[in-house]
Amino acid sequence: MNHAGITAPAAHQEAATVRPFLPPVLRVFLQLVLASLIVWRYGVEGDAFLRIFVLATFGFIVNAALPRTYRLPFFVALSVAGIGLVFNPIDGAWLLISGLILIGLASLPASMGVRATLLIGVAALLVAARAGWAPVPWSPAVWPILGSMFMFRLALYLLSVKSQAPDQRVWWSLAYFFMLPNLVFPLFPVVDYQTFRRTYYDRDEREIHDRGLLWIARGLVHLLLYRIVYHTVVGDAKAIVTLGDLAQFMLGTFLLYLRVSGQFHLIVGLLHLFGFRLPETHKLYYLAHSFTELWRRINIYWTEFMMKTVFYPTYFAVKQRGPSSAFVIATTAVFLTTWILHSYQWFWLRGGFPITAQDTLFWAILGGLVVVGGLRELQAGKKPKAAPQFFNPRQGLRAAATFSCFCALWSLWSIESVSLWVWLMGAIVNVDLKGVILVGGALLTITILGGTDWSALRRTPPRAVLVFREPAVRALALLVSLLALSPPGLRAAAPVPIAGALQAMHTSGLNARDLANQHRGYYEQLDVRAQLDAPVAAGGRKPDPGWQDLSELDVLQHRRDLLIRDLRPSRSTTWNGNRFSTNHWGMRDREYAEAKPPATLRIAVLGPSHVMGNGVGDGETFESLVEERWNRDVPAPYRSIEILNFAVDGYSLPQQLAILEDRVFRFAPDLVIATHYSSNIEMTEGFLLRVATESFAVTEPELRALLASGGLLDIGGNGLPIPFVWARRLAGAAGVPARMPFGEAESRARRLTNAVLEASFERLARMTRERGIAAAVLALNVVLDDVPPVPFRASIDRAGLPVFDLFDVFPEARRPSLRVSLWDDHPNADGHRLIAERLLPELRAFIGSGAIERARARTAE
Amino acid sequence: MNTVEASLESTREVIKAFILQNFLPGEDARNLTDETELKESGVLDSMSTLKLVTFLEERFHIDLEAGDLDAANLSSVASIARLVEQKTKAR
Repeated sequence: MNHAGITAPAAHQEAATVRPFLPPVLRVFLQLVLASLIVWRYGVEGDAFLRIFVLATFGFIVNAALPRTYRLPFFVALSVAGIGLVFNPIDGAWLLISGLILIGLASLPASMGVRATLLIGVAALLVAARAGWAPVPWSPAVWPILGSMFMFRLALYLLSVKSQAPDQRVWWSLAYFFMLPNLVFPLFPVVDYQTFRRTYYDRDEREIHDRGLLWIARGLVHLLLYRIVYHTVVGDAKAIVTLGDLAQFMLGTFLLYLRVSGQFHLIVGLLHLFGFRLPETHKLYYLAHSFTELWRRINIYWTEFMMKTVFYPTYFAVKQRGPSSAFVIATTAVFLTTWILHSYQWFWLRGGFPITAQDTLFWAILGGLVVVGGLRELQAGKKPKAAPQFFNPRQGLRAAATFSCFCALWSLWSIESVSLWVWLMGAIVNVDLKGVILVGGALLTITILGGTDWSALRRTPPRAVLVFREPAVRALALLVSLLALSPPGLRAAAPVPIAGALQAMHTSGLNARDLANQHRGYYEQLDVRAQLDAPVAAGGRKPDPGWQDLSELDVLQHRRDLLIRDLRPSRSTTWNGNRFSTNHWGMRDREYAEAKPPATLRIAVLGPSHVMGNGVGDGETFESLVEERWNRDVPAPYRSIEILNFAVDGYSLPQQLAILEDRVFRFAPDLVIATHYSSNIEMTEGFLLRVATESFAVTEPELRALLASGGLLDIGGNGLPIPFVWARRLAGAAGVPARMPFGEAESRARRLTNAVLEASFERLARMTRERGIAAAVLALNVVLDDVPPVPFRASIDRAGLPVFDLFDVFPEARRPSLRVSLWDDHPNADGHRLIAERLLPELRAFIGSGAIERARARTAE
Repeated sequence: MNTVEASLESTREVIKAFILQNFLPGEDARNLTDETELKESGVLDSMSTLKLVTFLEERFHIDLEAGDLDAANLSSVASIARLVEQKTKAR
């Protein structure tokens, strides 16, 4: 959109071009049923949202049938019914009671000072409770919604309540705070109370409903696009090497805001169904031509809230200094307040009050850009309206520049640390084809779309698309398209990249990066509604207070070598209700002699926690079960089977190799089984980082060479954290002691991980081959929600290692009952029995194939 | 038309001329009516509001306050003219 115009046709004029074939209310209702189907098929925003959406769909038809006087009370009744659908009775009652108390205090027939003082007193009590200093009778699920309803709107209500019209005053107050969509969307637009009242059914009903429906459809599109971006576009920041990786990460990070814009479209669209004609939200924000315009478009509600409560009061207080100075002071006040209020919002939605360096930098830079842009706008008048022009290249380039800067800024806000962000910028010089295509394509797209005068196009649309000017038709087209894309058969038949995108549209959980890193951007972390959806999520996954981590027991000992830690020998303790014992060799196993008994098949198992047996008692681990069952029917020429468990909690593959070299070979195993699992990548990354940052002695030459090639050898020490080797050298030359920042070390470790894992498989094969020992890889995860492919399968095959693939050992329907607990994904005793049942026949077949004899023969040759 | 109505009409014309000249240069004056929605159509954003405030204060010798800048007061030429009249009377 080039600039504001006043001749664009209104929606009701557009509507007149198409003859309705159904009564409008019935048509909107049927489209809402269609939208409900989409919410259900894709699992959009969880079960609680589906319940609220269906309630709104049927509520809409009742509301439309009621006389206008009864509609506001009906909306309040619907919201109260919604509380019953989302919360359990106790939580719901407390939410209602707390809200009524706050509204009552704000509406008292007393002076503003008295009401504000009373509210501050109650707020102080709530702050203490939210911070965990005082008990509350409700569950943690209530906080985000209660906070969202009152944290900002109470201030706007206080400012406006004095001048509010007397008609239906109580209903207005209740409707304003208990807005139906707010029950499932804690991140909610800061709706102005006066606007809320002023725009209520202030236009033709049909126009308001159609507009709302269109925004609901748009919101669904935004949210499903967000899923594609989240699951397929945003990569791991630490894995960025080239310009292409960097461009993909930055584009993806900014596009993640589709989540917020989608939610806001749904919220405002739903409110339209009940007559609240609130302002359009997130209008073409990716195509803004300047930072001031982006600031207005990206969240008009927040902008208006800040204008009303901070900007205008500050501006008028200092306007005697002149318009430009007053503007700079008032805008600075706005961004300072926004920065603080984002942490305040975080406090109510998630608890805690984070102030991070990247947060501070983001708001400072954005504020500075808006000040500069605003001053330019203040000093320059608007240019005369040009003749109708569908494309303005200058505007397009401005949009592309704004988009690029904001991509960079947004990635800074979303990343874990400033030093990591600075380090990532180094990837700009590694130009690759993907980078050229992504950067060029994105800039070209934004230039074309941003330079197009959409209002001019709307004024004179081609005849073929005339029908699409009507919001109801546009909404229907979007909804039908989404429904058409939902059948599982379509995913199965589609080419791989499209199938991946379609699959992502149905995936609601965390992506692999976030699962591994547990770090997400500001808005992703504020998505706390999952607390309401399932007991397994968020609060439900919080361990019981008495739950113990292994590190709390005197079982683990720390080492300053590549093992990093191992188990203390001859310990026996109770761990979360299970007996946990180690033998005198430091294995979580029964006692074995070092010398292998005659005619015994001895197998050494290496692995992490789920092999060691977190969450199960002694003798319940799968290796113990396999050993016991196999010994009932020992294959010739053996008389007994021994399976020695060398697994240790937290072991990555390199640590498994380290323990293999340190102690396993002296037990003369016939077969060594190393365990490979999905998070082996992240565990190996953590291992490399630990080895590098804590300066462990790395004597193994191959790993040492790899660490050196990745710049991770000898990085420890004190000094100023400065990214890039050349910058540290410069600092060193200037006499400033410098060290590698943690973010850079993390990124380097991530880049090195694949090579280290590939080399580890090769090394496992080589070490065992040299000793005439058979080796294999056990692919086994904890009880995950899905069955991913085995990572690095090609590398394992190249190394000649056979694989016992047990990634699918836990049947989907039984997974919840196979976990140790809601908050612990390790397999429980039943899970270990299942593993043993699958592994034993595979092992029998492997031994029966003569693998042990072949390995011995290779050495002899 | 009485004196009050004439004054209001004159105020509306002055405001309309200012808006056309500063925020809608080149626009056909017939498209800007007394009731044209200024906020929602994007004609009046935060920057143009500040310019309009400065103009109104200087042209009509009034003092505006933060609370006067409600969406309801700035929604159209007519509502801005009413605000100016109120302020002029209260002077």
